[in-house]
Amino acid sequence: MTERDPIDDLREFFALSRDADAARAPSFDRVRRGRAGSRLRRRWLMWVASGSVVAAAAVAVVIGTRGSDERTAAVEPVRLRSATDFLLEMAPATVSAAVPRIGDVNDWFTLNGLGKESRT
Amino acid sequence: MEPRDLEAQLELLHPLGFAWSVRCCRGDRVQAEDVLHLAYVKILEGRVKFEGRSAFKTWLFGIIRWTAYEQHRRGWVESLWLGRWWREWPDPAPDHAETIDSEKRVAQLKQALARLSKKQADVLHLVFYQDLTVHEAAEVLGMRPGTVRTHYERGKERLRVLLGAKELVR
Repeated sequence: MTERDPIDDLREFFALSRDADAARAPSFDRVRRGRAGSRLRRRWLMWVASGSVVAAAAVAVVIGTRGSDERTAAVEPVRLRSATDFLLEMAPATVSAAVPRIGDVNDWFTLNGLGKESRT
Repeated sequence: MEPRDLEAQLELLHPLGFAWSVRCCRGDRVQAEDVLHLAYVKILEGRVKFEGRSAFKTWLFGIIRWTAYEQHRRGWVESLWLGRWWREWPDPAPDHAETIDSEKRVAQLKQALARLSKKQADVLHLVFYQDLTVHEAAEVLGMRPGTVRTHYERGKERLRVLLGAKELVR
């Protein structure tokens, strides 16, 4: 006894599907032109929108950074005055003449009344 | 090939090309139309040229397959951005079984085909639906003929198993 090969059914099924698909396929002219409002045509809109978002974010970062710099410059830094601050206000040559030997800072401080002995 | 002849050939093969495009787009008819449009644009603008090394149909189907792959890859990248908000829902295509024939056998065939691997289903589609030879199907899929024949034989055998066919007695 022979059984029907399902592959024969497959051929018949595909033949019927082919006819039905041909009737339902969009026309050649329509596909050739491209669908109006298709995702392909809208893709450039998507990239423009994405680019705008990125550009806006970059501008916001730049503005935010510059604003921060200006605020920082407007604030006077708080400095604690110390006993040796006068050295910063002296010309370098004057400082070198006043402190001739490198490393003998303690003696210099004592001579100028800035050593521990001068503090009571 | 002259542009007019090229366009005439494309129009002649359009229904079969669309069916293959739907197959490559996993049943998404909207995307299939876009893919086919892109393939036509590539061909008619001369970006790809038919050099006569294979049958025109085989060459066209290869272009459609590559275009579908490129679109699929691009769609994955776009879905990471805003692309997912632009995607259209695929048209709900009417069931062939219900449109053509409501016999139980057709429904069983469709279910069995859905259970095959993609490569086996593609090969059977190209051979039975598109009437290509195994060698031509290999050209379309970019595989070796031996590999395609293996998929073809295994696909048929799997169908027989799924449909519960008994061994033929000749």
